[in-house]
Amino acid sequence: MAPLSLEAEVKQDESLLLQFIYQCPVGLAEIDDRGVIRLLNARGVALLMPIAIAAGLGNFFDLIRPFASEIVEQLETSSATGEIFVNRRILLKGQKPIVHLSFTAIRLDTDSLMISFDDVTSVVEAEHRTREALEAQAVQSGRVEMAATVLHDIGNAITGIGTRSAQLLAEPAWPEIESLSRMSSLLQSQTALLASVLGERKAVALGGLASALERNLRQREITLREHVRSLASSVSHVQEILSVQRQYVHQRGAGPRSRVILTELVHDAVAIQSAGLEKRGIKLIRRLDADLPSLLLDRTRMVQVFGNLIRNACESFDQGERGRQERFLEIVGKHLKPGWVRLTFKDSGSGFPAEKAEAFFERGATTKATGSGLGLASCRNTVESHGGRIWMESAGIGHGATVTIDLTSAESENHHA
Amino acid sequence: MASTVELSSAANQTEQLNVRFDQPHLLSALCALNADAYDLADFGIVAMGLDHVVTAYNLWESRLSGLSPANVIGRHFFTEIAPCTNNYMVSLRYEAAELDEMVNYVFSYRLRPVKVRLRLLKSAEQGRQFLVVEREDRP
Repeated sequence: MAPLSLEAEVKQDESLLLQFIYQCPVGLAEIDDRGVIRLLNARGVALLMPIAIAAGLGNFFDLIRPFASEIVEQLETSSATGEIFVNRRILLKGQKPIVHLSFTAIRLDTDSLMISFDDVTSVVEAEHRTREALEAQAVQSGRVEMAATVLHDIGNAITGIGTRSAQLLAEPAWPEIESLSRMSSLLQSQTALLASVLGERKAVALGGLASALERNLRQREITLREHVRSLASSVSHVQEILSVQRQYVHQRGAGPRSRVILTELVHDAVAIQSAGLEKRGIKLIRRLDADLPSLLLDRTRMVQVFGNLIRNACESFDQGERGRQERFLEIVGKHLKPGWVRLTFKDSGSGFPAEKAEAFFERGATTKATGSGLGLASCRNTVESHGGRIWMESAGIGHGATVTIDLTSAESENHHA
Repeated sequence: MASTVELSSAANQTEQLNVRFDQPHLLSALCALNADAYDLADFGIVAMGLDHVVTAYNLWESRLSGLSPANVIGRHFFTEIAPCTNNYMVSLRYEAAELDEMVNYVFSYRLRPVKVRLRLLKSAEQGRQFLVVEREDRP
């Protein structure tokens, strides 16, 4: 093959350079001082055409002014050669889908500017998502910190009450009662002597009065001790709740998973909610298969889920008149199929319209005056994060409700692996 | 890669092609013609398969773009030859099975923006599609 002449070689180089710029994957334009586009590569056309339908692709300033007049002003007033701005982003309002372009401008000489630009929509969106996630994380951290502080302060106050209750319980019998008892015995034994001074009736009455005072004081002491014992028990219950909540706050998100016997978790949740069940006279029925497998679970969060469901069941008895119908909550745990366990929480509470079942799992959905509507949404989040599923059913208002949770041991193993 | 186009003998012919840019049933008319006849047209004709690979590139289009047919035929038009058309206004419209639409557009010929009218033609049934180009400022 004969070598190319110098002229042909230059021509070929020019052609190569032309194609290089034409095919450059970034928009490139050369404009004059009034914004007239002199050169524009293929990517530049593809990016600008959607906004050039009305204005045409003749003048860069006319194209950009409706979206960012300050950029045009900066280009018009620049005089020194060199960089004018770098990576200035413009949102092309009115475009569907939304488009963000990034521009860099360099003045080449008094009547020539080079503009490079590209579509950075995906970058802007990714940044937006990251910023939102960081803000949500900051808000969440703030909430967790506040919750931890509140729990800590309440815990301190409750511990003080608990300590005082324990001290009251440990106190010996009131010595005044023993003194009164001795005095009463003395008066009883000396009734004859007293009668000679006070008369028969008054002497007997005095002995009886002392004896009655002693009995009354003993009864009051017993009653008071029962109240203190009950107070200590309630304090202990509150401390348990605080302990679970503290664990939850500290391990919020992805808590550690450990092998847990499901039956124990149910018992723990019932213990925490026992006061609510007792207060409303709800009969608790537990039917848990003895050979339920142990699962790898976030113990704290799953106790939270079960506790939430039991509390919801309790509170469903507060809504509407249930008449003489039996109040019960039945918790059943059984093998569903190999590797799966099914737990059901069935109550005879107020129930709900069947079509509303899914709505309760949406954040903010609640039927309670003081509810946040986060309970069931949080439950679903936790169950699904364990590879399980949770749903709710009711035959209608007045017919109770059933919440079902399917948990898999396989997912637990996978998570562990 | 691009190279300067040498005028073919067809350019010097006085024979006129009996098709117009804006005539009805242009797709059928172009399908009926031999690819060599496209060089007689006074507008640009790019013939493609349904895969957007160029099968014919006429002289008019070749002169304006500076690309010789030999360097264009067999290549993907929207990504390799004319990336300026690779957006929803042009290339994405070819997703339709049948297409005959006109679009006001701007081509970058040798980096110089030129206002054009495009006629987008496609018949999935016949397995043919065309991009037909007319300069808006043509004399």
